[in-house]
Amino acid sequence: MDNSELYRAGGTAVAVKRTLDASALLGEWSNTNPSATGIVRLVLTETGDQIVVRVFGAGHPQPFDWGEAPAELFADLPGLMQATSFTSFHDPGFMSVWLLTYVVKGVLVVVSFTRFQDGSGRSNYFGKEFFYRSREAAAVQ
Amino acid sequence: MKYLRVQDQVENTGAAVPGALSPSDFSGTWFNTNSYNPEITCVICKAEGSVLSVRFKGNGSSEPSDWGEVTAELLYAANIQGGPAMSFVTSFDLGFKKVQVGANLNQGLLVIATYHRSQNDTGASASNYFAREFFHRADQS
Repeated sequence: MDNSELYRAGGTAVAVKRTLDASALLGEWSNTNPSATGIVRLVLTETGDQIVVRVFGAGHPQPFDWGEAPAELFADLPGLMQATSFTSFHDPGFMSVWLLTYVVKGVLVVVSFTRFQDGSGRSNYFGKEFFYRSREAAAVQ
Repeated sequence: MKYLRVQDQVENTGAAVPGALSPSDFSGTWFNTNSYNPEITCVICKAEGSVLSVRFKGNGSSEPSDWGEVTAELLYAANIQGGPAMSFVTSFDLGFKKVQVGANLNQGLLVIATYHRSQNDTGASASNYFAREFFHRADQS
């Protein structure tokens, strides 16, 4: 059951039209767990009409740079224009990760749905990690 | 073996059996813990082998009373070694909007995150939005 196309947040080659205010999300978010073995950092930036997210996975000696993917923004309620949530899809080929996120009381909760596509025997798995805003948007431009 | 996070690097993946995740832990009827103003009132899950069918019942006002039945597109274990499915993703196309769903079991609750993407360009009232609701099993006593 491959429905990855569904989760491509507008697709890598298609601009994601943005109507919501992304200010509450822009910037750098760091994992609250300094020993995290999953995602250690996310950086959200504004590129033209798009918001893009760059993900860094735990690695030694340097974190793994997953590159950028379009982020699709969501508000708390249908009529609100402040984005408090985003989704993104990351597919480097051998695996794919769908990120569902939302901000609660200043914490960015990142839920990850990981699927391996390389025949390695690794199971699809679910994860949840927590991030604090370590740098405001202006500092990461 | 390629990986983009330390936690995805495993020496022994023999225990993992891709595609064999059992969704049986989801089976049954789940009711929203919020009886006051739920959006989704009830979730009905049916597991047959490795296939999970999911039906949402809405409040009949802000959400349709019956979203119809869909199949979980992907199942996820709690970790890379596999085991029973404790999470799934699926989606509903309700015509006026498309809803992506990420769900997981946690402490006896079914946690459902819904990402609502409007299909109509009707201004602020149609902004994309996110919701998270919690469900308990139907009383089996």
